[in-house]
This record gives sequence, structure tokens and C-alpha cells, in this order.
Amino acid sequence: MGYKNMNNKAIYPNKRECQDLLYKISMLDFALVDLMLYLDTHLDDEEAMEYFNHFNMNLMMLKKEYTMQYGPLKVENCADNNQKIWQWALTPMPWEGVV
Amino acid sequence: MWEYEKRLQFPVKITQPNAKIAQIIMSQYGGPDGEMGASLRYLSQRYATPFREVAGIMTDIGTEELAHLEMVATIVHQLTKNLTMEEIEAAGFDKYYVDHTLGIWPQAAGGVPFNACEFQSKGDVITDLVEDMAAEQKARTTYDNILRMVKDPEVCEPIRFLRERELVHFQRFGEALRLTKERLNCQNYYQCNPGFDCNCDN
Repeated sequence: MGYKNMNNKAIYPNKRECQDLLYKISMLDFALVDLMLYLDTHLDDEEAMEYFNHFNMNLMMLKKEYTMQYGPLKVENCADNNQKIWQWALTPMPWEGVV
Repeated sequence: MWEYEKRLQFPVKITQPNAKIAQIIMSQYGGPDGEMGASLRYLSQRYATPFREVAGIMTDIGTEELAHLEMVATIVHQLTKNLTMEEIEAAGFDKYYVDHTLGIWPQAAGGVPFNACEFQSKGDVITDLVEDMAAEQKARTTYDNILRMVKDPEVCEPIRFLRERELVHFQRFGEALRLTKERLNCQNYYQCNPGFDCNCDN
């Protein structure tokens, strides 16, 4: 209306594919959060630690794939996909419901 | 130290705005048993426990509560997006709108602003953990009450996720209380406060 379009550089990733990958990341990360809280009170459960390491390795691979295709989830990955523009500020905010 | 990850812990995608439901769910943002009080409670209490596992569980649950705070804010934001003035007035959202437009502000469903008195940080680890267990149950009851009023599945799904986390957190705080008591005098857990008394042998 009365203001210039401040979001004219905003990035809108291919919704479906981006969403599928993000859901996989969310599921694995949730497993890790739940395991972390369990391990916080069950310090010597080796089986749980194995689960943790297993999920964590898979999660790191998926996050790398996501970053390469759709931009960084964390600021530390901003330089990972050779972009000429600062994507951290241009990918959707989580509350937008875009991905 | 914290790092931000640009995603929600559980997806929130609400397509039907509903200001009436937004005003109810807002209570879990800044109400008496909301996520703001939860996160600040655990993240404030953790300094007074000399037991690392207990400080650890308070840190990790307090951190997860910050992610829940973001989810609740997202639900309220999406429920109030693109509302017309008529819809705002018809839903009784005008009293919130006049002060905050469609911004997110921490208050209870009844309009009472967020207040640090909604939680304690007592400097005594047994006292704090017992409060934490009660807090998780109070939040669970609030989510139960919300689920009785909300029928939209797009809203119910993230609310059900948040409700289930209250149960897990309750369980973990219970275990932290057991670990704490194992380190204290089993003849009298209250003989000393390990967060204050220097002669407390732990």
C-alpha cells in the first residue's frame, strides 16, 4: 500500500520438496531432543547413546542437503552454498507457514 | 549462549484465521502456565543447583520451551493474519487489537499481562524441582482445556504435540528430583540446602 516492497529479494523455495526435506529434518531432530532429555537422567545408557549417534549422523547429512538446496538453517552454514547474496535474511521466517 | 535455527520444532500451517481461538491459545504464550513462564523458570532456576545433571536438564528443557514459545506465537500469528475489522470485532478481539494491533504480546487469555510472579526461582533445588513438576502438569491441563475448545485439525496437531511434551518434561523432572535426593541425606532431605549451606556434604 503506502510502503515500498521491502521483501522484493525474499526467497521462496520450491514448497513441496523443501517442505518434505524440512519435515524429515524435524523428525530426526525431535528424536534427538527426546533422546537428549532421556540421556540427561540416564547417563550410562549405551544403547540410547548409539541411537543418538545414529540419528545425529543422518540429521547432519539431511541438514547439509537442505542448506545446499534451500539455504541455511543456521547462520554458520551461510557460506556453504556459494551464494553472492546474504541468504540468512532472505529465506522464509518459520512463522510464515511458507515451508 | 544460544544459537537460532530458522525452523519450528513442529510444523504450524494454519489456513483458517480465527481470532476467538487465538485469544484462548495466547494464554500459552504469556499466561500463568504458558511457555514464557516455563522457559524463564527453568533457565533462571538452574544456577542454584550444584548438581550438573539437574542443571543440565533445566537448561535443555528450558531451551525446548523457547522453541515451544515460538510455536505458540506462530499459532496466534497465523490465526490472526488477514483478519477484517468486522471479524476482529465479532470475535471480541477488539480489546487486544486496540493495544497491540496484530502484534504478539505476552498476556493470559483474560488479558492479564505476563508477570514474573507466575513462577519461582527459590534457590533450593528440591523446592524448584517440585514446582517444575507441578508447572508441567498445569501446562498439560491448559492444553487439555484448549483441545476441548478447538476443533480445527490444523490447530489441534501442534497443540497435541505441545501437550505431549509436558508429559515427557514432567517425567524428566521427576527423575531429576530422584537424582537430587540420592545425593542428599536420606534420613532428612531438608537437613541443608545444597544451593546455600556450605556444610552440606555433596
